[in-house]
Amino acid sequence: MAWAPGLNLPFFHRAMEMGEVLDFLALSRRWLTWLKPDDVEPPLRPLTWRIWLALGAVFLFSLMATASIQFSQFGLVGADGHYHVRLAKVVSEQGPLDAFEWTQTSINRDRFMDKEFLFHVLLIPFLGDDLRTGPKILTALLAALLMTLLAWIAWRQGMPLFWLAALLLLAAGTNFNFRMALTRPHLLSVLLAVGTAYLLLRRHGWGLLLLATLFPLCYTAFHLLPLLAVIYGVARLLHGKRFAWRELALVLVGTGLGFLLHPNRANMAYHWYLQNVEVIANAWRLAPLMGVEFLAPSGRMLVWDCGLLLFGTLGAMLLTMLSGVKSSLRSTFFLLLSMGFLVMFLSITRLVEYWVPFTALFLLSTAGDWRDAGHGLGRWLKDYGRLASVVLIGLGMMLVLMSLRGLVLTQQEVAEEKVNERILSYEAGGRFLARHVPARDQVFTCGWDTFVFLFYHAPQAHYLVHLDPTFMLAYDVDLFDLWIRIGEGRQADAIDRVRNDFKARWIFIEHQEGYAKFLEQARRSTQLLPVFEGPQSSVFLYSDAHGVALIAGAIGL
Amino acid sequence: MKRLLDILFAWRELEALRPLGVRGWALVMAVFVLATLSLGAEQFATPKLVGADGYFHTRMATVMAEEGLGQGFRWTQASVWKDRFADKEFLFHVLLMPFVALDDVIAPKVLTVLLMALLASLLAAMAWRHAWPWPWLWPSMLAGAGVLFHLRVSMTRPHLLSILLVVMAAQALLRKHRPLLLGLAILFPLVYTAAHMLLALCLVYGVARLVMRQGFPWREFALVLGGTAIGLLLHPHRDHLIYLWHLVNIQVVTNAFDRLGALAVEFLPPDGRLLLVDVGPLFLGVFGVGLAFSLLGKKSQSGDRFFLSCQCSLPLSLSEHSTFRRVLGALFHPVHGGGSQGFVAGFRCESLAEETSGMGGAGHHGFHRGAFGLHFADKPGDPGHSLKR
Repeated sequence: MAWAPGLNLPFFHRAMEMGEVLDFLALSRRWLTWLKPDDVEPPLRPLTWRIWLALGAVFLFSLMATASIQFSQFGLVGADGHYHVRLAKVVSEQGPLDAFEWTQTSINRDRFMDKEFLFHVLLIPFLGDDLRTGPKILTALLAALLMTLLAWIAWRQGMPLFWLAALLLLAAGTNFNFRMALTRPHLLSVLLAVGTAYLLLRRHGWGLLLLATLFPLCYTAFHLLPLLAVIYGVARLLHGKRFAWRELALVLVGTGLGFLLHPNRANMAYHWYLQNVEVIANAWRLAPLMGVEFLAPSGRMLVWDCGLLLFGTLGAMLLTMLSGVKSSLRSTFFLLLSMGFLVMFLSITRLVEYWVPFTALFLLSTAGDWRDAGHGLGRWLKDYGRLASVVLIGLGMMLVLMSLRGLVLTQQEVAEEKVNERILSYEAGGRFLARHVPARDQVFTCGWDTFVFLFYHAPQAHYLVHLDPTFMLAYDVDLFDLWIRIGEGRQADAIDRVRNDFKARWIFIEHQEGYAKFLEQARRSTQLLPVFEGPQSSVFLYSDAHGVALIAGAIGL
Repeated sequence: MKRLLDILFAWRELEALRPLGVRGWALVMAVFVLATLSLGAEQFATPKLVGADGYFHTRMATVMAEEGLGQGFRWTQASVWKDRFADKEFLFHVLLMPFVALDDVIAPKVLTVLLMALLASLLAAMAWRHAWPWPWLWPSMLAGAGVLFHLRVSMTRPHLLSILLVVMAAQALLRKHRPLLLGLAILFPLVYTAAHMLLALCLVYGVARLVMRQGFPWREFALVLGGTAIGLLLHPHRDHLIYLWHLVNIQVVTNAFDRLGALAVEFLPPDGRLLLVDVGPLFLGVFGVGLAFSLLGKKSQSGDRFFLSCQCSLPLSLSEHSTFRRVLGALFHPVHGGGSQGFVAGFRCESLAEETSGMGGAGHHGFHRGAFGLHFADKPGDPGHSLKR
């Protein structure tokens, strides 16, 4: 390779050796020397022991808050965490996977890509025996780390009231805080994205290269960091500076490196396309089939849940207009990020997790601009006297109240999951399957989101599809249509087709309105034996010779 | 009394504005003609009245013309209106009378078009007189204000008149044109049930002035308060007006939150995709304006008062898309640009035609959703949604 003397192509086709890694890093360093920054960084605020102490206090406070949310119930919060924890367990036992045998009618069966490989690796030491407490601790830690990272960036970048970062995130509403309580890889990706934004501002070459390398190993949306670099470049252009070509190049190289280092790199581009194009297109097209996370937020959610940040942003811009303060590069960059993620959040609720941190950073950064331009708190108090005091006290109280509200309501929402009949029933069904289904026996499910609970409790069985129905759609369109028809009770010979087309011996039916007809078909069928009946789910077994043997032997009926 | 008259006729405090002149009038007339033609094309995409409410208002105007002012509303026997009736939109019905005398459908439709064309012309006149750059741009942005806005302003309802009065009141506040302000404040409770609207507008203007260190406009506030009171007293059904105000502005809005299913779709909040696809340029344009100011480091002069007004109405318009949307729409356009929405405008006539044709059995409740493909927020957790979030 012309640009990498001493390194040959097979390097990328086998496991890297340490010598080659060092060679490559040395080469990259020469690049960095060649691509010097074209201006000097603004000085960073020093980290004295008092600041470390303050940051430690922010971390402790944040950890108490996130842990109190996380341990409002003892199970894993949300659905996806069950999949990630179980997969981490599998990876710890079998090493990185090339195929995903648990979903037999999904593209993942043969063309698997562990989209969140590094998150699963990170989970391994936290798994413990119960596959529950450790992952919950890790989740709380990562969420607290995000709050602390924001405070740290605020301090280093010279923003005032850096400790407010934690409160701003708590005040960002239930939707955001609930998502931060999910044991999912977005925790890692948000951290990396925020870290990258900071390193872009610092134009920290090595750091950028490292984070960009890590990102594709952690998260499927590996275009995100190059996008951040482009937005940073645009912010620089708006401030009359040169586009950040060097940073963009470093992020692109890092992303490419991460791509190549991924154990499932052969399937990565295809999965990127599926996840970032097909899944999102289907979120609009097949809305009722998709996860609630793909719904758009309602106007009332924007006002009453995360209104503080939305209207805080508008208010900050208004005050900037009124005071005539010129925005710093940092504020412009964070505002562009906040606006970009707001557009995405308005389309897909789950993207609140990116919008909130960058909006909080924009607010703190703008406060820094006002202070630097002589329009800080002191000036407002001097100019407006008692009125300013009243307004400031009001705003402070509102922030504290909104933080408390965010904390308490999220705790309630997490606690309510414990008594969610649907989840309890799926978990009970999963435990039943764990006891009775032989290894590699196929289980038919009507929904795709049931998988996470069944896989978590009964990993010895095989299922249909996981994480998103798009993966079955990409596997076989006709089979997907058949699956939908069967689930909705529109297939007259459904029981035969499940056996013949899906090779299933077990049928797990979720008690949802959409599946009621199929449930009736199953109950009426002479081929099926009901073997489990929960309040929200039923399990049937084919009563052929194999089924009878199973019943006689394994179940003992 | 003398002091009051002094305050009222303190013309010397009028802010100096650019005179309309020949070019200004040409702009205003051009906008009026273009708006009439384009809104007329939308309005007459269907031979029927657009929406459900128009049928009530036109019939009400006919009844008033024939029977005069009644003290009860005999057509609803199980409603408080039966005995405690107040014509919330009295002056709108009076305005409708000469039109319904001509025809039940065509003439009210013409009035609807004319009122909105008047709004566009008013915006053009404001843009010219305040010497905003590209004065032709701001009224023309009404054309790109989204399907929902166009649908609502095509309905023969009193909100058309209230939008006009609110925009005129905003202009009167900016100019400190006190006689005009008093007149508008008197008219407003006779036209529209939200009698508090101009007071709220005045408060917002006051906050903007306070932030700009110009002092709270107590005189204007007092005039609007006095005018509103006079309007309430002049109303032919003044005895029941306060009670009806409470019902419509408190009870109905509270029920819109508590009992979503029982109320009209217009009380549903818009969802994020509607904000992006339908009013995206305007919604995001607010951020764009903020970004532009902060990049330039320029101090805002007068537009910020509108900006603040927009922000104050935004929470309400997000919570309930119809009631405050009209204020939001009217106030957004003159100040904040966002770009073209031609692709949305292309669907307008078709949507209106669909809406009207689909209205037969749907009634007031629920007729927006299916007809336009517009997104209103669903409740997560409805049966059928997955657990994944």
